[in-house]
Amino acid sequence: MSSTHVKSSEKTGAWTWIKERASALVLVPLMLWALVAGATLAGLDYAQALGWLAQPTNAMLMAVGLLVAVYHLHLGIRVIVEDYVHGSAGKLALMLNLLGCLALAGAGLTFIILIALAQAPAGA
Amino acid sequence: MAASILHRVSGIGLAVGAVLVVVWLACLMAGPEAYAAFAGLSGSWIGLIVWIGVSWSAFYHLASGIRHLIWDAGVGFALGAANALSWASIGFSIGGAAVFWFLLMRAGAV
Repeated sequence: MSSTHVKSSEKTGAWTWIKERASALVLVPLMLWALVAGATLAGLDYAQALGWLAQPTNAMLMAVGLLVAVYHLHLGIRVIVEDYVHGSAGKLALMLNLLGCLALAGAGLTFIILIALAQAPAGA
Repeated sequence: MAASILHRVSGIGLAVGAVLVVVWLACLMAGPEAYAAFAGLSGSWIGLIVWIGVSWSAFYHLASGIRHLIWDAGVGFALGAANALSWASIGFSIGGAAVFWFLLMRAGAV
């Protein structure tokens, strides 16, 4: 505690603040891309959608976007839980947040990779 | 105040959107029938309401997030400027979502 009795971030608060802002900055262009991608995909049939994801740029941006977005989501849900849920229920909620976000990112990434592998030419 | 709550609400909306994207990927991997089922549900009235909510969340969280980044830079804290930024976020999100869906409908995608 400083002599001025100003409450400072004594453990990891400042680092969390930086992580939130850094991921937010990265997500600004990714979100603009996601809106364009969403509008593009809205009218596509199955074969066209596969073709869209077969383009490495699209698969790459989708994977990176999903990872950063879910990371940012985890930080955001944590703030909401810490504000509204206390005690052991809060601890459980924080754990579910972590597990849910890991599952979401893991599943999304796995699907993107499996779709890419299924479309790769045989023997490649 | 309200703008701050909306930032959280739109964040939750985008969480729903992230889950939907992963479900879309699962359907695309599963094959044409699953993909058609996802597309059919997305095009139903309840699906459209959900997607409109997700798209509004995207525009609002984007604008409101940039508003927070501006504040983090130490700018725009005067009451008038802060309120103006909040209203600009709300206006941008409604206008952005409206233009987004107008363009989708004009392209015949919806």
